[in-house]
Parts: sequence; structure tokens; C-alpha cells
Amino acid sequence: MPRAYAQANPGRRTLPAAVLLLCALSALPPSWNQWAEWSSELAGRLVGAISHPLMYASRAVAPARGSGAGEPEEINRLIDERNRFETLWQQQRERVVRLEGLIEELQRGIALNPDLRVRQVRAAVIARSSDLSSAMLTVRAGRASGIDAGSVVVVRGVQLVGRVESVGARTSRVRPVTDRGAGSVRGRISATPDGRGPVCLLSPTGRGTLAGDVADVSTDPELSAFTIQPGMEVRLLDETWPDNAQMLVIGVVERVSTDPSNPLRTVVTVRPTVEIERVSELTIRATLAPDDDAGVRNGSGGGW
Amino acid sequence: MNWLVFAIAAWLTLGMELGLKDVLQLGPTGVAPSFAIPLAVFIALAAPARQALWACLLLGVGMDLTARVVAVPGVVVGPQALGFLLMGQLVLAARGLMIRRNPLSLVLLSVLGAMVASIVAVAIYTLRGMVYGPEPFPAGEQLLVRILAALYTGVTAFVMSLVLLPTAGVFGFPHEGHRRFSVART
Repeated sequence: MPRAYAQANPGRRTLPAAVLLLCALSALPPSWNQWAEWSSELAGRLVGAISHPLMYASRAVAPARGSGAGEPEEINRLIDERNRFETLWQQQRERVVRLEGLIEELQRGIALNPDLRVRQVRAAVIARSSDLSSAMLTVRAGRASGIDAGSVVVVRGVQLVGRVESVGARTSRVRPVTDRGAGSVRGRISATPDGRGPVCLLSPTGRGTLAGDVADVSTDPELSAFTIQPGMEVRLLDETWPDNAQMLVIGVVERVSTDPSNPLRTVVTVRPTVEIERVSELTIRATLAPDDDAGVRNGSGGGW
Repeated sequence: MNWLVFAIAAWLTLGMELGLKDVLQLGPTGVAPSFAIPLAVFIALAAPARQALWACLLLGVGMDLTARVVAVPGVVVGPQALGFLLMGQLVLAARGLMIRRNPLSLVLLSVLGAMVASIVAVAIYTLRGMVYGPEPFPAGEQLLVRILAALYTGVTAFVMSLVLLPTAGVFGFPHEGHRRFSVART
């Protein structure tokens, strides 16, 4: 009997069907819910015919604090104008401070190798890899900006980020030195006040650091007196990298330990001074050919 | 039930929900009363069961479409609608024990119904936050705010009952008496 009743009343099934539909809609991923935006806009317009006058009335009855309601119009206008100019002044002041810092950073980078003619292009990081296992960065500078594959990438003037791996027309992909696929780099630990120290071969650990063995310096009477300590700077000294990258900062020693398989060998863990996988803007440095004067301004680039 | 009257009432209450919420909000707490819940409870108290559930569901969809939820990107249709549907079911189960034309019935069931609807919505948003991100839905904090808002909804339910109960005849509910209010079961 109930079956016969249900067949005679198909409307009885619509409510369970609607519930199932709502459950399915609740479980849809955000990218599949775009259609709801349109419906929401329509609903907002319909309901707005009621809500807007109500809000207007409620503001008249209970105005928001600091809104200027009840004050003479001339005073409100002057206050708004003052606030606007104060904001403008603060924005310009911040801009001047930022540009001063930028000039100082670029000058520091060039000061490392004053004889080298490099072109520096500042570029914004516009994307990261969709795959979590890779730390590759996509930057908004490509062939149109004079970028070549293999160009060195830095941040804050001297902190090494990595190398440009591939170049597109308007964008490039940068592989940070901390990326697992970046390979090893040779660096020198600045153990003495004049920057000398033992050489180390560092490999990325995949946790934002690099680690590797330190060369034995027991035979060097000057260097054997120094012990490696956390906080010491490590700079790039690797012939496989371009000249303009030499002596850029890889990072600072975070931890000093011994190799478990060889207790006589020291292992250092180095962390970049900047979290390079999360930078928002960086500088690409490309060595210029001796006869290439284009874009060189006292050694700094024409990219900005 | 007269669906045209319901549509107009739903339109007005959703407008009030959006237009008056910030002025009635308790400081920066985010605790604000609902206007749609007392209407849904009022209909669920008097309308035939299936019509009551459909009315609750439609009001919930309206709430979903006009809502922007913290830590939930975009619009999600379903959480509020399912919450309202469960609230409607609660009222249907309890209405035999209540004095339907007493304002306190509307107040009590609105508070309880709002709590049930909140729990359903928070559970769905929390699950979505866990599965899709981008950040977890602050379930504990939101549940507390929504339960306080449910208590506050009792105030709007009482005020709305003073308008809804006398105008119940317009909604065309079956067996509608002529008395405006009642203190005894009929």
C-alpha cells in the first residue's frame, strides 16, 4: 500500500532528492562552485532592495563611530581632505625609505666584484610550483628583459637564491639552491676576520637548508687555529657558477656536527639568511660581455 | 500554505537579516540575531509537514546564497539549507507538545532550532576546511559565537511573534483559528 501511494505521489520523493542534492553541493570543491556566485549575486540584488534601505535607516538612527554623522559638512570635508593627504604623505615616505634600501642593496651586490660588469634586473615572484616536492619559483622577467638561462639570482643584494633554469618571453623559472634538484655547491666558511676559512661542499637537505662536509684544514697553521661555530657566514666559491656569483652569501652556519660514518670529518648545516623559497621579489644578475655596454649604469642594470 | 505570502515574508526577513544584523550586533563579538530562523520556526509550527520542510529548506538556501563565510572561499550552497531542514524536523517533532500560538513557543523553538542549524553548518564548514582548505575553519570559536547568537535570536523571535502570530491567517495554514494568541493548547 505505501508503495502504491508513493507511486501515486511522485512529489514525496522530491524532498529526499533535494536533500541528497544539497549534500552533494556541500561536498563540491570550491572550483566547482562557481555557478553559485552567479546565483548569489542575483539573490544579493533581490534582497538588497530590502536590506539597503534598512541599512540606510539604521545608519541614520545609530551612525557608526568616527563616521562624522551630525558634524557640519564643511568640517567633514576638511577632515577627509586632511586624512587623504596624510595617507599620501605616509605612502611617499615609505616609498623613499624602500628606494633608499634598494639602492644600498644593489650597491652592496656590485661591491663584491667591482670589476665585473653585470646587468641587474629586479623581478617579482609571481608563482611557485604546484607540486609540493619542488621549490621552483616563477618570476616576471624573461627574454624581453634580457634574462638568460644560468643567470644568477640574488635577494637583498648579496644573498644567493639560485640560478635561472629556463627563460620564457616574459617569465623565467628559478631553481633555488635549497631545492632538492639544485645539486651541490662549494662554499667557503668565513672563519677568520678577513673572510678566509675552510671550504665545504653543501647539498640541499629539502628543509630549506644545505649541509655538507668541511675540508680538512689541520695542515694549514693559520686556519687550524679557528673552530667553526654557528653564526659564521658561508660564501659561494664554486667554479661551476658564473664569476659574478662568487662570494655571494649562501647562508650562515646553523649547526656543526661530525659525520656519523667518519667521526674525524666535520659536517655543517647552513641556512640562508633569507627564507629564499618565500621571497616576493628578487634580483637577476647576468654577466655582460666586455663590449656590451647596453643597460650598464655604473655596473648596475637597466632592468629598473 | 500560500507560497506567495511565504516568498514575500522570506524576502523581507532575508533583507532584515542582511540590513539589520550589524546594527543589532553585540559590539565586535559577531553575535547577532537571526530573522530568518523565527520565520522558519513559525512556518514549521503551523504548516503541513512537507510544506514546512520545503519552506525551511528554501529559507536555508536563501541564507547560503547571501552568506560569505570566514575561511571558506566562495559561496557554498548546502550547509545552512541542511541546517534549516534539520531545524524544521526538530520543530515538527516538538510542535505536538507546544502551544502553537504562544509567543514563548516560537521563542524557545527558535533558540533550539538556531543551535541545531548552527551545529550542522559548522560541521559542514569544518569538514570542507579540512578537505579543501585553504585554512581550517575556526570551528570552536564559530560554534560559541553561533550559540550565543541563537540565544539572542530568542529576542527577535519574541518581537517577530507579535507580528507573525496575528497575521498567521494570511499564510493560509490549515485549521487556522481566529485567535491571535493563545496560552492553552488548541
